[in-house]
Amino acid sequence: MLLNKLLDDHDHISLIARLSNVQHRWHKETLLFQLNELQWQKGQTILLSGDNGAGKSTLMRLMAGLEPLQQGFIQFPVLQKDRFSLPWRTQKPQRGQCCYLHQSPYLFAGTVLNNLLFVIKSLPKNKRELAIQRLPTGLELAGLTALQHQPANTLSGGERQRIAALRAWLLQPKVLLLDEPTANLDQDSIHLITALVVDLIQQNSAVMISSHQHTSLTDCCNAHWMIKEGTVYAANSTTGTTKLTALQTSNVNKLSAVVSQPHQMDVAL
Amino acid sequence: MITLVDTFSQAVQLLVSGDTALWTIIGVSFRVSLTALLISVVPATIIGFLLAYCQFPARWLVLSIVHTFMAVPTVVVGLILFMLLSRSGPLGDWRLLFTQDAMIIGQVLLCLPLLISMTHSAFQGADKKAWETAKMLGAHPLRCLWVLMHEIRFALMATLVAAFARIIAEVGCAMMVGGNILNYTRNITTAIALETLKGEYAQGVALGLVLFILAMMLNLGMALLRGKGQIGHR
Repeated sequence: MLLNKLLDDHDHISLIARLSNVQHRWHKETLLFQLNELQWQKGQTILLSGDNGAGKSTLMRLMAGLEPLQQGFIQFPVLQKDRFSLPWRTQKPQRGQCCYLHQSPYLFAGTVLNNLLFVIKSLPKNKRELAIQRLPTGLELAGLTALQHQPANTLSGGERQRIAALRAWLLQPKVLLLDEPTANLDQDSIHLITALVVDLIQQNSAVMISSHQHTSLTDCCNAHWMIKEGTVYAANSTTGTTKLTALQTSNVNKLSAVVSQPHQMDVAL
Repeated sequence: MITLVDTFSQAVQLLVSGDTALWTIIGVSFRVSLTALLISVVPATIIGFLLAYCQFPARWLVLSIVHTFMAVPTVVVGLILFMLLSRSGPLGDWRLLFTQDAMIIGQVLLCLPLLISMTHSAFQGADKKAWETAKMLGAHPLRCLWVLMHEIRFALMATLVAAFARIIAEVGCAMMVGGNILNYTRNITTAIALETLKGEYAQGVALGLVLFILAMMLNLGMALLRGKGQIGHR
């Protein structure tokens, strides 16, 4: 008994998320997808793939708590104080710890800086100072320094996606779910977003990316979940690990270069 | 015979000269209607939001009831409130009949369904991603609501204007529960009705002009605000 409990304990410690017996139906009738048991282990960056309309966004939204769970449960041991906890719906994570980014991001009214300050104001007070210090680095990393005072609604699709990624970078969530973040973006924007995501992975954020394309961002992934013919399953994949290590190394160099440059920013909260 | 032009000139003179009786009537109207609007706006916004964003089994039924109440004539609301507040009624002990408080209650009942229905439509038409993004970025639920309200600010302002216009221009309920008492519960619309019956058209026209100018100012204000709110790139 004690051994089993200890083994369970160990399993939970090494888990980001556990999805059990999840089913989702359109209008509670037509089956969209189902899964029996999936585990998201610590250290895994997951690529979620599937055809259009297979349910990738819906699965991510279920995980983020943006859609009601119709059946089964999703546990996030990494987000919960009680690791042997209740089903997902009865114990929600603390605000901002599980972040889902829309395929077409929503930007708040005002400038780019206003959008970033929104995140900083949402952080606990003890983390705001650090976030303000990181802001210039993030702007540089996302290639948005020159655009920081520009109204957000005048920006292009790639710039908007970079702002969304930078908001997540400032938030530093424990779980980040990216819904096709590089769809219709040019290579420069993809590389900039990749740099932000890799930095988050280095800071122990668990990342899941849904994508159709093979890009430098999908190279970050070392695990693969697929939705095919209404079933979600884990496809064995470790090919991304080597590439991820290489990306992380290049990102460290890039970050060091950015941080070594002096930045000053007056931010009034 | 008094011509229409003479009546209008007398009405303007009454307004410009600061006639005490006239301006007291205008004051009562604004006090009662603005108080009713202030009381209603917060609960109506919350209910409108909940109806748009919360799933519960009888939602369509609640919405249908709200829409039905929008169509109830003001005089019927006045009649029901009169029966409730009259001495023999269940709320007779409150002694509110023929007071400004009774008029405020009546106007709250009149504008609540309209506010709920219009705020619900505004929230329903909002970009849901505004709420979701704020939530995902760790904002407090009240801050998320504020973000969403900012998204639909023009629709919300139009809602306020429509509700205010409905209650300041209603006559049935104010007449029945207010009693049209001079310097106390006589408001613009009940005064117009009374003065017309008495053949004193000048004061009636002056009060009508006030309502007309008010409507014009509200609409011009809305148009000016909307001018800045052009559809941008999303």
